[in-house]
Amino acid sequence: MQGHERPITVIQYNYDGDLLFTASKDLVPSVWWTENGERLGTYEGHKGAIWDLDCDRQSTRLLTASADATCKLWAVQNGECLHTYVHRGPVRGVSWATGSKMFATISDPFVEHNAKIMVFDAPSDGSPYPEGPRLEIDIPKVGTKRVNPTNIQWTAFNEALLVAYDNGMIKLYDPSNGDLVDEIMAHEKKINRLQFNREKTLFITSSADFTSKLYDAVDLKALKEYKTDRPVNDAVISEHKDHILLGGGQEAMSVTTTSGKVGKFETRFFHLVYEEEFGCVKGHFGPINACT
Amino acid sequence: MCQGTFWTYQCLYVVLLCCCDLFLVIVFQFVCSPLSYTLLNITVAINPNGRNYASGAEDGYVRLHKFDKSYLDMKDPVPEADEEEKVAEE
Repeated sequence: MQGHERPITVIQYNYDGDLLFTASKDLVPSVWWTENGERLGTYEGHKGAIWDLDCDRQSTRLLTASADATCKLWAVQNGECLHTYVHRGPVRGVSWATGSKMFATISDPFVEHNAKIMVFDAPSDGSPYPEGPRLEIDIPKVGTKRVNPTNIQWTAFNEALLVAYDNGMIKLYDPSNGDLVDEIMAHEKKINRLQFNREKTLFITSSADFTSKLYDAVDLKALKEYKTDRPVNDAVISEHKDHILLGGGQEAMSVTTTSGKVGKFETRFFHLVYEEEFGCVKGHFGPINACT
Repeated sequence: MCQGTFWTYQCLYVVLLCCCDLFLVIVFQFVCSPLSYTLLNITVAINPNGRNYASGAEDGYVRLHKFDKSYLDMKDPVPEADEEEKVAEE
């Protein structure tokens, strides 16, 4: 279904699975019914590409992170913008905490401001939304290079903030005081996305270094590694089956240099335990062919 | 056409380094010509009910995929150790 004119940046199902939220670089996130693919509505108001969105547990409020340096809170049902949180740089990621009473955002550096992680309160009982963040974590330059966060997620029970960076690192922060709790070098290149499974016991990272890794969320140990021959853009853990879905693609630039293989739009299925690829779905303006 | 693609992506890459998204929009409008064989599948999400999944791509399309019955019924291979245990119990 075509709802956006620009590349899609993020899609997310709500907790119950009946709604699909999509956002792209075209400034307007949409929400669709998953039963029939019909669009429910759009959220107008952003002035920049939407980089990330997150729906709360009750599917009543939606958070969107945009390149216009704001994060907006919306009422899911009628598209009304409830609040706008202003940041100092393009907002790259947003994530509701468990309980949907607070959320965290990551923003890119902009001019003299460093990249930041911010935690905001978003009371659901009708009390006014505070303007500023409850906690602000500064991400200073590493030497002379800027290392930017690409993804943020809360761990189960809001114990820590997991932040993935574009140099392949994952860092854990304490959300009460902003201290760095732990860090691991997960990948050699940029981590494109980090997603938890439903119970938040495992998470999967997808990276530009052609691999995707499955981690234990408690002790941060790499359990499995899924190798592909293309940069992995996104990965999800299937709930009902022991499968991993990877979304990836070949960059436009490398098509001119590689002779045989052409970049294809495909989703790959891996078995969670055996790390074997058992299927792929190729899709392209037309019928979808499953192949094994 | 191939050259065009190359140029498009190069511009993108440079712009990302500058961290200025407004510029990125302009580049896309001037140079972008969607080429079917270079689609990037940028994001995937699986429905919590396990029956369908969605993928979003560079071309702005979001594709909803429904799993076949054969996929849903598909049994994953079980390691031999479990089978031996079952036999022992019987």
